[in-house]
Amino acid sequence: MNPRSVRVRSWVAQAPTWIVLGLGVVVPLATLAWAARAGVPGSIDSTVPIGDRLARTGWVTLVQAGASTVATLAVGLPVALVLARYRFPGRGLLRAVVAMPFVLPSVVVGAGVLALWGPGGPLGAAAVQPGSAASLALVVVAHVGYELIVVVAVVGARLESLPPAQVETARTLGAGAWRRGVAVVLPQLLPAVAGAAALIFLLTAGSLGVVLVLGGPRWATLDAEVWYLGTQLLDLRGAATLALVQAGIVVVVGAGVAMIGRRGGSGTRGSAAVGGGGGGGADGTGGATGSLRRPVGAQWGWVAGAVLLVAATSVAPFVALAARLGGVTPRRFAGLWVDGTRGVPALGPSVGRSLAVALVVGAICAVAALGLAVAARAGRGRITRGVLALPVGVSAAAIGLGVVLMALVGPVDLRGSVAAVVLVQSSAALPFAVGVILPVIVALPRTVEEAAASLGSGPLQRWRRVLLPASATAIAGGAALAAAVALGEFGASTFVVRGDAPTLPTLVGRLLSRQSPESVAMGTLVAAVLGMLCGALLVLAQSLGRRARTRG
Amino acid sequence: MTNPHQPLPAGRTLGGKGLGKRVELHPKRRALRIGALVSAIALVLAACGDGDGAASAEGDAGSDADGAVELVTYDAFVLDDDAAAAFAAESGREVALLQQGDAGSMTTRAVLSAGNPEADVLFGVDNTLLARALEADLFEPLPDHVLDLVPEEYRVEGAGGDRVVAVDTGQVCVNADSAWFEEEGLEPPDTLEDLADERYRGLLVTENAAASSPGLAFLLGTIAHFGEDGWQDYWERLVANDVRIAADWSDAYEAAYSVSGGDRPLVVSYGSSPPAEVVYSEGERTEPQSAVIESTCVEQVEYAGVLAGTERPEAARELVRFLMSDDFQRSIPLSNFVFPIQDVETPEVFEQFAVKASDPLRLDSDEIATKRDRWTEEWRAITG
Repeated sequence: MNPRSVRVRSWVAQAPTWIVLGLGVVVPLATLAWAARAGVPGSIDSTVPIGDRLARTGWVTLVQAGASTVATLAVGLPVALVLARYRFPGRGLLRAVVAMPFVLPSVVVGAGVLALWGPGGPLGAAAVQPGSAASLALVVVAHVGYELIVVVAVVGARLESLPPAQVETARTLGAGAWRRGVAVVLPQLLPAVAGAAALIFLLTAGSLGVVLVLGGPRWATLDAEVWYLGTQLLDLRGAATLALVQAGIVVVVGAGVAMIGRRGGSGTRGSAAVGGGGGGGADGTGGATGSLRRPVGAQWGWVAGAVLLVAATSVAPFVALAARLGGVTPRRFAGLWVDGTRGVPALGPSVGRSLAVALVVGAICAVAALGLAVAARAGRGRITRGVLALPVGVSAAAIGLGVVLMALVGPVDLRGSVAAVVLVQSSAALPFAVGVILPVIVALPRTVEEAAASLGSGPLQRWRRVLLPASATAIAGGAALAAAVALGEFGASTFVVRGDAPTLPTLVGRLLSRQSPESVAMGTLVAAVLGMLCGALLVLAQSLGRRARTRG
Repeated sequence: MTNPHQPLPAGRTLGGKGLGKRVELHPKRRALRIGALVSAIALVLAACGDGDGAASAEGDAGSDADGAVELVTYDAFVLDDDAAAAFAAESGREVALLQQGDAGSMTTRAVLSAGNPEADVLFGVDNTLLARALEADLFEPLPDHVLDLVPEEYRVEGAGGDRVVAVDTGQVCVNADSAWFEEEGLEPPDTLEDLADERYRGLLVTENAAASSPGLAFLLGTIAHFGEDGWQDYWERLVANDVRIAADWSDAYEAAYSVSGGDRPLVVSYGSSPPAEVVYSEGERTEPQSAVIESTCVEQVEYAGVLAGTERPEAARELVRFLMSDDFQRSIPLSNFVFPIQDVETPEVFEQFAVKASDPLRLDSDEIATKRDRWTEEWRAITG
């Protein structure tokens, strides 16, 4: 095969990804740039210097993301250690539970924390009013549950990759347990911890749904500030400007994190957020089971501690959320499903609509990810994969606002169309589909292909008869994961869905923002339904992913 | 491995004799097909979503689209059943409500969907936001016979004034829980200044001025009263006096206010909250427990208009005219607890307990339009 045709072919294979990224990220960002310069009709342009606004939200973001990062590491490191070291009953389940919140909709995680710690929750004594100064605690608690998997995936993978022989050698040379930990393990672990910390900081600094539901304007991150300016304060130009600044920061910091990650030796894990969390443990989880030990004596204490930590941060909120469903009689639920209630459209059509869009998004993302995998197998598409980090970092509110502004300051009117919803959700979900599908396809042994080639099959036939069937479960798993992410997408959808045809997360966001007890109860209920639907898709994605990995 | 099919599950190979021919298809073309498929799906979906929209472009020339007239408004709005029935009898159409948060977020959404509206008529944009709504070309011009229904003093001057009608007025005032004050043997506050007094420490709850309409009205009232350079100091004193900032009206009135079971006996609400208290008690109360502190009242005017780009311009104008009719105007005191713009008879409980300060605090609408954001930003800095 000549190199030129390889290049052309790989670009064509990447085309679907570029369509999604182009229309769903690049064009909206360009539109924001235009709007920030030229203004938007009807916008209440702020006379507050952008610097002042940045300084305030920047400071708040630093405090919040810093606290979230420290807390997540404090909880996550012991859990990662236990998972990487010990074999015990329920280890796989624990790992799966840790991974779950990461891909659950942010509004569901927020609603769960609210159901547990908020006013009227079972831990009512500690009740904190959302939006109050103390609500930072709620935000941090939600973020710990959310980002725990990052520590477990990134640091855990590093732990598992440490050659046991090294530690054994140290032991033979007479080093005690502490000495082995400090002198041998820790130095090799630090880059991974730093990488995980940077990633968590980045993700929590860009948190939107959790902050909106729990922290309110007081704890507004840059993303949330964009959302407030663009949906509440009618400062569209300010929102556009701030969104661009946010995107700029994300690109710079993201590149930095990627470099740290590479130096940390996690090579292929440039997009650890994607592969690590998204795959629900697509990387180094069960692989190294050989080096796992059965805990003895006091070590069981460590295991129990890890289980407790995970239960408190990743399980209890959702149990509290599900418990809220228990208080609803089947009859009332049927009423809500068919007729809705005051100010809330019927739940049934919202569920149907959300699921239909999510499945289409899943299909689109699977196709695009497959194309990208084709290119990656040919050793190409590195730039595309780098750009793919954009939708992970760029504020979802910015994307949504950009799509809306395409009509207000540009000629393309997608407002209120299903296409707009599909588009913004696809760009949000694609990195996750790629995180699952691409590694599996890249890892398929070349020997099979070569054998097929030697038997005279062309490249297409090799794909259809060998590679595709071998990766079918991974592709289906990636599609299911993308559908789950799409189903939970909040920040961008909130701008582009029609008000009378909400998706489930936008409905939850709307209800929880009202804060009257009645609305919060309804919002919690819808969040529970949404959480279950996403949970079902995630379980499907994970079991498909596991089958794909064991097959390979 | 010699057999390439070996690792595959039985039946999963996509073999078949036809395959041999298709192998010749260049991979580039195949990938193009995938791309085309994605675009096709997107286009089909776009077509589904825009089907109605495309028809609306010619809506003005032809007849109206079928179905209910859609009215976009804020969450708290209640359409009286009898009034809705009267409209249905008159026009042969139902009214479908689309409720989008409070007045501020509803207006923002409307501006974001300007020209491609989510409904036919918008009701509830108030005097603080009207200037921006007009600037965004949200509304279509209204016929004179509808505009003439607005009393002289509430007509909108200047550009865009022919696109909206004032439907009702309200007054945002501090309410005091009389029973609580009596129990504590404390005189309720009388003025804005009193609210910052040590005696009333930790008693007031208001709404987020950056996101809630009564919260903003109260802030504007304090600016009208203390002046553009004096209000900051006042708010600093309020904060020092432990004022609570609730996210919105429901949060303040229904959760934090002591009459509703909360712990704050002073709340920023409406001059018409006392009659609402009686009506919603469903017979338990014959007299309100709340008293309105009249000197704190700020005037709010709510407007309606036909959204530009509507699919049902005729029916939409009909609905706006209906909002000005006696049928609707008579219904709003008890359905929404606001004062009708028309001179219609109001129910007794409203007549008796609603407070309409004769000289409410007012700010110029244009001044609000140009300075609102700076004020709310300063306010956020003070209260944050």
